[in-house]
Amino acid sequence: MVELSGLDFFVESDKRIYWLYMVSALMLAVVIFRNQPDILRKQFSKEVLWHPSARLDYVYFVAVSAVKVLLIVPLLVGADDVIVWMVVFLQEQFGYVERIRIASVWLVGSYTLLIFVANDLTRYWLHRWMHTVPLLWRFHRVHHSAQVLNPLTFYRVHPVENVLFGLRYALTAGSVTALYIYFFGAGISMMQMGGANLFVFVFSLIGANLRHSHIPLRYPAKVERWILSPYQHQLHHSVHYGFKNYGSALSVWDRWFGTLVAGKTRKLRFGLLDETPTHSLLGAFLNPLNKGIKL
Amino acid sequence: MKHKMIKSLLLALAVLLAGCGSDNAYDGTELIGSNTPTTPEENAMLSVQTQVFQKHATALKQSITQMRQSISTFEQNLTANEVSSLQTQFETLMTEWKSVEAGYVAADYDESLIDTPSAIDFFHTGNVDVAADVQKALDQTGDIESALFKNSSKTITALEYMLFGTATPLDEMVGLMNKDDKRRVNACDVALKNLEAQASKIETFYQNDTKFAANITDASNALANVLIDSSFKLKEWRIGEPSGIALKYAGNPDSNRFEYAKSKRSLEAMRAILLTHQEIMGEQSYANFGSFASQNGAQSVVIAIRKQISDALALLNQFNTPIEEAINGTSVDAKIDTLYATTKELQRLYYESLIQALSLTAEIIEADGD
Ligand SMILES: [Zn+2]
Ligand SMILES: [Zn+2]
Repeated sequence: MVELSGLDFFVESDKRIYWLYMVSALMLAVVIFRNQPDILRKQFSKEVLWHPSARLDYVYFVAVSAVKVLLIVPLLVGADDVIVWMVVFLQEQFGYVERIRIASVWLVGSYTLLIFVANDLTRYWLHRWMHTVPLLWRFHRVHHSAQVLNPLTFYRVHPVENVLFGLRYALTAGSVTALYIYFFGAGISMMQMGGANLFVFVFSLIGANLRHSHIPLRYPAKVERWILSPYQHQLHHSVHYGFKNYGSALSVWDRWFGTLVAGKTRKLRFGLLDETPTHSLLGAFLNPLNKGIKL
Repeated sequence: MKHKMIKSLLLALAVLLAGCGSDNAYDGTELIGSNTPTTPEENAMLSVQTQVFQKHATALKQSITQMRQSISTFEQNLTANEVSSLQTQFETLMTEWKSVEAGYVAADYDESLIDTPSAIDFFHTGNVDVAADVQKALDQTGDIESALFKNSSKTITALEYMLFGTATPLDEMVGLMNKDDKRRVNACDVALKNLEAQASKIETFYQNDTKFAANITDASNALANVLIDSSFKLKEWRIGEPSGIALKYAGNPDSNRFEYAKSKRSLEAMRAILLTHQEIMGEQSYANFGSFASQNGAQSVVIAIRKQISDALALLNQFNTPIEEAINGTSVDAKIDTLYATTKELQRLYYESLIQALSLTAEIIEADGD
């Protein structure tokens, strides 16, 4: 029951809204913007937290959690299946390689980093295609139809997009792991912090939950060339910079592939330019499936 | 302003990290896998596996020593019975080696033992024609030991050629053994001397090692690695390539690619390998790696693994003649196809159990967009 509602997400360290990441986001906001009380006041105001868009986020979070638990996770091809298939494939196609013996620390460290980086790269490209491929944009609109932002907006994603991102994870983590097993054998494991990938943990701790908020936390310019700040994702949600900052944690993909925007604080308007959304649950689920009907 | 911001940021993070409960503490032991066995089950499993490895290493060493002793008693020309007895002893020695090889974790604990297997037999390693080298040494005059200067000429593979020729009939073999003042018999002893030294190293390792039983994570990894390795080579090299099922020789079977085609003992080698898998994974009266994995959440996979092992062994028992004779030109006995499929599934299941242990099941965070 708890699983169906998504409430367990608050106590699992591999989830974005894990309580510790929420607390750290709040602390960062309070400490950094202590001299600008208006900013915090706005985030916790009724017009942001009780906006029809935010209310949809909350209902949506519970509804989509149930969809994920009942439909998506059981049916989705998992990373496990990809790994087994791929290791056997590698062996049969490229022959047998003598296991490379390296120290555990290097093996586990490089694996943890590579999983994180590879995942971040495939997230970048899938996210970019969600915007540039018209058919995919129909589904990704659901996320961008949010007119106000709060951490739960992260989960305002159409189930079709969930499936695509889930498959992407299975393929990415599966391929990296299969390659590691092919070359290094057993003995790989993830460097973890409280049960999450070390790098995911650190990234989540430095304000990931502020990405979907009205708190314009920026990192120093030099840092923003490597790691996307919450503010850079807020720019992505604004009506003017939708085709920029597709990245998740690292900004190098945006930088190398020409979609990075950093810097100056601007007055932002979130949401879609061409539409006044109705913020209905049914509409969010069904509208992308049929362009003609608006619920 | 900027510096102030970074400072507050760092401060906030430091406070947070310090505030993390113990469940969020960085788990260093998990990272480098220095997990000492704690439960009686873990200890029992590790000591049982050590005993199994020790038993085979000792048996291998003994079979070699025995064969050398037999050879040292020959004064006159060898009779057909004596040659045949040597051939039988070869089978014992070779199958004992297959048992050691199928569970060879020693290389993970002692670097000096990494190359030992390639000093013991020569299969699927490079383009050396061991038989031709040995024949050349036999055809020469002068000291046989220096004529067999190549390491590969002193392996089980070489010994097989010395004792069996190329599946040469026994009466002809007797003549060859006695030729040139029993040069071939002396060659056998040169090879056996090398094998004895190699087997000795392995036996000493298993008798003295304390590292394997001291770390359950490393031991499990070593066992998983060796089982996966061994099942792959069994399926692909020992069954798939001779029968032309493997991609490399698709549709081009050749019974000479069997591991022990010259002695027609390839089936016995396969059986020894599978029996070792059964000792490690199968249902036994003692607590082995299989029962350990089963108790640790891999129950259904272990059941499936056990079934594949016994299915494969049962298939081997269905061959009434040497497996080499099950390939005739391009026609391959259907039992070999089944054997390939069974061992392929066995290897797949080993991977499945390994990956289950990694627990990488899709995290939902990764199923969300941004
Ligand atoms: Zn987007
Ligand atoms: Zn977003």
